[in-house]
Amino acid sequence: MDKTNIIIKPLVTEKSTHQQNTRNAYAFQVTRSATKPEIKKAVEKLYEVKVVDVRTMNRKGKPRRSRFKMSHTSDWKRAIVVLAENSRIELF
Amino acid sequence: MADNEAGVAEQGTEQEQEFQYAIKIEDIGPAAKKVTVEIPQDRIAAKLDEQYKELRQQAAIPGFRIGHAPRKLIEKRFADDVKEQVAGTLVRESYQQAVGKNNLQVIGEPEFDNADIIKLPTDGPLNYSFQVEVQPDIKLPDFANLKVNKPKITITEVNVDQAMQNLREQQGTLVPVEDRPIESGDYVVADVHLKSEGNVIAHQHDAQLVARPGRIAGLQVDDLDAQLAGAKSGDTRTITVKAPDTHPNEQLRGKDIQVEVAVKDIKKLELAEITPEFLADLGFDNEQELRLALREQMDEKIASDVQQAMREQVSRYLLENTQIELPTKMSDRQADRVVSRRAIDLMMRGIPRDQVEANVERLRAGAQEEAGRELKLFFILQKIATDQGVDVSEGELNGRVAFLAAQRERRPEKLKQEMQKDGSLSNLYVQMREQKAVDKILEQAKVEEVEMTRQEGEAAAAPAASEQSAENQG
Repeated sequence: MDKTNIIIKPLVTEKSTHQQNTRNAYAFQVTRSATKPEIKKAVEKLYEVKVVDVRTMNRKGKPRRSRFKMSHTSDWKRAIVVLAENSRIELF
Repeated sequence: MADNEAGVAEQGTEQEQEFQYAIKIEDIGPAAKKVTVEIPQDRIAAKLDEQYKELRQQAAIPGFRIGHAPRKLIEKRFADDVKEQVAGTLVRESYQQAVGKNNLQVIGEPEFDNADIIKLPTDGPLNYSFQVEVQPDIKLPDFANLKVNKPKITITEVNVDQAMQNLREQQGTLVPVEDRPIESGDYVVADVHLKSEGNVIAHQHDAQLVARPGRIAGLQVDDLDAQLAGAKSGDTRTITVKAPDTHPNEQLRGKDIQVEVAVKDIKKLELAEITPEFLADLGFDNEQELRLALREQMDEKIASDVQQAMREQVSRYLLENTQIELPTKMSDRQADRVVSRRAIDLMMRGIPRDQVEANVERLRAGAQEEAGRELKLFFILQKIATDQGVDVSEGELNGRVAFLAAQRERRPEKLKQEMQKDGSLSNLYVQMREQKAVDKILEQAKVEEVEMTRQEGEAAAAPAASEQSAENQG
């Protein structure tokens, strides 16, 4: 399967910023089919850093209503990537 | 915590207002200055910092609660806006300082050199320069030497008789005449055709004419009564007139124009008899009262004319004896205004637009001089007003507005609001201030009374009025 776009975007939020500062961990939205080793490789290659740990979580899309039908936004996957001590990513 | 920070920021601004900018002022031409300002780097940094701090308290960025977004993120997102804003603030602030500290009395808008490239540099100080026109230096003449002739006009019974006659004419009735040809003073209804070299250039149906020297279709005919005398209803008379050199239509200037007058109707003005009813209509009990009222009216008119004449003398004296260098750009602008005013004037008189536009260049030449005079007088009078401490109080201004409102049958408050909106209120203020300044000078001047008859006085005081009445007859 094509997994060229593993990392979809970094998640810049109050929580993720806090984790960057406290435990050098960065959050990303990733392809739903991506595995932890794939994410690790992708981040290391993209940002030229050393990844120590990857944890992922599947997020359910939020329910949306259009007229009479209920639908929902797409499900997605979040990855929290912990970097080695001397690695940093400048997200902004 | 947020309150604390805001407090600190405010204190910071207060201190910063005392910040001294490096300002250099050079003279360029009459009453014009070039100002160069340097805003140092640390000043820019401080201002930016303050701005970001403020922004951080308000910025709503997705993923963050308000006031919790990291500074770096905000800097990255809003850098362009903030820099532009800070540049604006700093330029405004330093401009105000440059003007205020050096007592530049700026007239009009400053002209910034390369206005569109005044941006914060990424590094180093911000330099900019601008040119302003300032209140020109004025050397006022000595008012002790000023001599003003005060026309002394006495009203005689003859004047009152004349006024009575006019009143009777105004109130008179037109009676059709059928049994005789036109006599001098008759009112004539006629079709008028203007011809030049065989071509009809203008015509006017049912034109109202008076058989006495006056104008027909804008042309002065000095012997209109003689030309028309003896014509009966249905007759056609042709009068040849030389078009004046000032005729609005250039091609006609200096040419002979045939004015064909086809008489349709002759009427005679019957003067109103002075009867008790006539007097009662005007609100008087007897003739004596009417005469008294007319005399008072004339007295008032003369008093204001005399004042006007004296003011004009003062203006002339001031213009002749004051040295002043006018800012060039400003005089040009004023000249433009004069030109456009005259152009509108001409258009109102029914001269076609393209003809007016063709004449604008010529107008401009004359306007330059007039504009210079107007401006000069304006500056001089403002200077005098300041020197002598003349000012118009709110009450006086209100009084004048109320007077105007009464004239126009409007409510004073409403009129004042309107005037405030279109700026004529400040014009009125300036005008009143100027008038008071002139009156102040008049107090110091040597006033000499000069005997004049009423006619002389009127001619001297109101040449414009007589011109107008001549036109009305046409």
